[in-house]
Amino acid sequence: MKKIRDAINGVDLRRFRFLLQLFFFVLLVYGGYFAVNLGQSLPTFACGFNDAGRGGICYLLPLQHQLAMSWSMLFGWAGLMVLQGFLFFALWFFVLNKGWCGYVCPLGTIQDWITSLRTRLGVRYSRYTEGQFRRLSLIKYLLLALMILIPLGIGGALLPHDMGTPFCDICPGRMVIPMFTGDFSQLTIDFSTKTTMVMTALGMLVTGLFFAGAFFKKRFFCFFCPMSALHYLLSKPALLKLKKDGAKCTRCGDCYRVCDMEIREIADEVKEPRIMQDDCIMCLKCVAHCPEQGALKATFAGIPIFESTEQGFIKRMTKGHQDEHKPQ
Amino acid sequence: MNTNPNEATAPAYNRSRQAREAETLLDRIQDDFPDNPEAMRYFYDLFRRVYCQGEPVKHEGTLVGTTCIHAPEELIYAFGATPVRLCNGSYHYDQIGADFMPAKSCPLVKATLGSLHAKAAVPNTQALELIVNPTTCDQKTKASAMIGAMGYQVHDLELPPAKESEEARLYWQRSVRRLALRLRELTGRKLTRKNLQQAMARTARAQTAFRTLHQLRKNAPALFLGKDAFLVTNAYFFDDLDRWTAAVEQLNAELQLRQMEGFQAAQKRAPRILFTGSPPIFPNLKLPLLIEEAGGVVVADETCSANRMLYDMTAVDEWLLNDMVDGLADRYLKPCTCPIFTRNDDRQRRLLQLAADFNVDGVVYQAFAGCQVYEMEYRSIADVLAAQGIPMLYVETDYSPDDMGQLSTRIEAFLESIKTRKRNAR
Amino acid sequence: MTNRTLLILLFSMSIMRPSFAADPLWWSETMPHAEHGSSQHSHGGPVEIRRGVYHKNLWLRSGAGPIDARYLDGAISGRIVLIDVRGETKELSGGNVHGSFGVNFAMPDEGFYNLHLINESISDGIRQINIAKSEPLKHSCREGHDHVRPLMAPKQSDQVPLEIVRQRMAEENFHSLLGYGDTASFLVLYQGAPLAGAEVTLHTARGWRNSVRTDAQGIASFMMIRDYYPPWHEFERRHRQDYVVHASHTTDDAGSTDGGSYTRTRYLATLNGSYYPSTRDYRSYTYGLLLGVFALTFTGVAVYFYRRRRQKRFHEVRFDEKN
Repeated sequence: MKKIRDAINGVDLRRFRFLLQLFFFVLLVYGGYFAVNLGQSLPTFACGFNDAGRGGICYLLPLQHQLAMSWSMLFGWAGLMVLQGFLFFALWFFVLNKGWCGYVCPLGTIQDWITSLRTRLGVRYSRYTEGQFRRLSLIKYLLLALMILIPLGIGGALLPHDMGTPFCDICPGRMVIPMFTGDFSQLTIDFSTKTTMVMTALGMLVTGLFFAGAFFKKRFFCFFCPMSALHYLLSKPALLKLKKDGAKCTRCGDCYRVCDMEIREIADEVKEPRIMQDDCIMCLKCVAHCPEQGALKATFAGIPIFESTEQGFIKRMTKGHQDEHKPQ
Repeated sequence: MNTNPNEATAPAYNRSRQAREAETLLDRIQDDFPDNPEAMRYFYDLFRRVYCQGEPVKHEGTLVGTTCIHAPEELIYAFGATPVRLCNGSYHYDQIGADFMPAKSCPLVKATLGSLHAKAAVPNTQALELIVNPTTCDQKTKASAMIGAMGYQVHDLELPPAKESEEARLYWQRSVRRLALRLRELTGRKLTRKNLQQAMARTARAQTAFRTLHQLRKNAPALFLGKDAFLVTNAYFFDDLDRWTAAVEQLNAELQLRQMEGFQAAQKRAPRILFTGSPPIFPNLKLPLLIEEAGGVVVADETCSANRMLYDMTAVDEWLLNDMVDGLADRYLKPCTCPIFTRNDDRQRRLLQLAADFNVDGVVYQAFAGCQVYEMEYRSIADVLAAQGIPMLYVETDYSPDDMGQLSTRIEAFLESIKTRKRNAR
Repeated sequence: MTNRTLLILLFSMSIMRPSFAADPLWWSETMPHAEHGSSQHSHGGPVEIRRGVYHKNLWLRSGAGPIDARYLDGAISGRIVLIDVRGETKELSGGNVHGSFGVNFAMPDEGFYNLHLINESISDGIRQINIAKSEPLKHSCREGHDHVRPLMAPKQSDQVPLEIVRQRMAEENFHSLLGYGDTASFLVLYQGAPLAGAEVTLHTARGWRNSVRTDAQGIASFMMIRDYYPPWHEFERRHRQDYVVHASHTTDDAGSTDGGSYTRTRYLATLNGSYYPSTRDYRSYTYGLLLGVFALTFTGVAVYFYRRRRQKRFHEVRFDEKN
């Protein structure tokens, strides 16, 4: 038992994560070709616009569609359908918590690949200052609020029907993911109405910004993702948790240095054991790079499955020291 | 500085009082205790050669002196230079350095200044081309100008007085980058990914070896005595890195063998002591030696001449220079429990965690007379330990051997009270 | 007299009138006196929802194309046959639907329904058989999209002698729309077999028409024209317009029935459909890619210059001079 534990705690997390991300990417972007259909309540960006290959649909698409129903329908029996969809979403989410972001999301995987490209080119990444971090962190809540309010406004006949899926219009996933199955039609500006013109133009601007941003910052888009905000609101009862034992922490900041999202609390907070913040993507890099035994751990239904260990840390850093020709 | 040919009339070093001081201590360390580990022979030998014989320590490349553990060694190694820690523990130099500093000041700084001023310093490390002086406590900060006046090249490595704020951390990262620039000018080499990675690999190996030793000291009953542990870490100041690492790895192997055999280096009921405070530096291992001679065993410590120097490890996400250098800077600042910072929450937590992990029975808090920062922290540390029910002995001392008798009495009393407590608790 | 009485009188009169033989008959989805928003639009075309069940209204029109064909005031003789998605046949009787003659039927299942009107008349010794066909689609996204593939294939009926079958476009599904510039293909079947050399005419909503002959496989293809040029801000993406396809075939079948004797038989089959603006009309790759590339390069260049600038000086704390 201890041997298995040690093997897991000493795993090469980078490689494990790469393989798992690749698997889920193929499953969600090409799964449709293999008759895979995981439903339409997935808590990750498995873009619904990827008609041919999608292995499931990101919950935000049906959510926006459903919220855009007329109020008489929405607040009537049809509202039960909305609740049902939300319930399935919550059930899917509870299993992996925000691990969906770090291990499954195809858009996150694409950003990680862009980051790999950047390190191979030897270009350094950018960090936010604490002030910038605090202010920008609120944008995802704003987007979540708009994503819910705008379709409701449509249902109440306050807004044009063209804006039925306001977040999907600006989401870079809509443009980028279908490209992987050869569908470039989402890269167009739709001139048919003023609304669609503005929304699709915004979408293309966001896509350009997405690529540049993801190049200079690790997981750039995840910082602004409304799905992330929605996740966080539901994250308390989820099964996969990130826990910290503050007494063991030396505040060395190693976890903060490797964190893609630059979350400071993971290093500085020593009192609260529930350490997962709203930006966390649960990539577990912090756990992998903590040299103090048992300071950080990932638990599933209370059982620790991945823990920070001195030996694991040393093993991974030694490998890093030796990978001279591959600056990753 | 090298031996001045004009001083031909001076007695040979190994017969000087200073050498005697060192020799006496080494004899106590070796002979007063039975069953020293085989692997410690390397260290005993090293100290005899360097401190008693005055043998020069060979090094590669440019020699860069550091006056504090905050100076990032990996950078110095990456530029092909060798760092040597100048903090001195000799009473002889303390007396010489007293000319420079007020009466009630830190003996460590006095001794360091004294050794830098002296003609033939021991350890004999030959010419220092640069001294990196982090602006930590005010005595070291003021010493910078004095060292410069002695003719050395000094680089002031600016350390912030607080480590919580973003400004402080960025300030420190900039200071470290500036040091890198200075080192480039000094050595004429460029900092590349490869040489920094190699430097970090070497120190990581040393840190790993230390951690293994550290974990082995958790063993109850103790496998290894504190006097030897301090000797091992003090050797790190001036010894060749790879040789030191190999010697420690051998020591670890021997200790692991001891562990399997159930060896006891100290009595089963010997009080386990956590040593904290001003750093004991050879030959000033007065206090740890007294503790162990009185029957206690120093199982862990929180001092910058041992644990703090080697414990923390650097993590890097991307092996690109910008990430590596900033990662290094963070490792030297963030986990640091030096009392020079504004808050000491990290030190409190560290002490409590060490006490728990090592099953410590009591804490000995050494503060050098004149060390304002350690003296001021005594209060908060005492409160925290008292709240946890861990007895603490506060000792204010300096390098002079005059108070040994008094200290010995106090320590024996302290250990006795611990034994009584344990007996009553059973 | 009240309106209702008038209508009843008109209907009763029309039953006794002989049916029009000369003008072709075809089904239309467009309401008479059509106003927008008067029926709900779902995939496949306008529908009426009664108690949650989709109902289709189709009106019979007489005339060549949508621009000049008129709605019928009264009933017409002939059989109206509905073949539902499962292939079951049902006879319908038309009636007054929103003021003109038409049929209304429920579409409970997802898929294509086939509606045929077979009307016979004899004049000048020629028996004319009008076969008006419509293929309405019922789809609601709420039913999901997993079942679409097997339901796409068009059906043929053995109850009609001459039939036009619209060929499916490549990768067509329930959401596909025939757009301007797309090619619509039709297969003409005479007694179940493809008919080569038949004359097929397509009439579009504004009066344009085109005639071709079916090829050896019985297929006639037309490229839809664009005839919708609204002012820019009034453009509707889903602007639906009717088209009609006529096919005729004359044989030497002779005989006599109640209506008279005839020496030849002329079959005239029609099929209606809808066409819409194509995405090519309002979607621009150029602008899209321009904007995307602009955002990308702007951000990249901005970050580059920001990084260069940061090497010179720190980001200073500045004080606001205003009190």
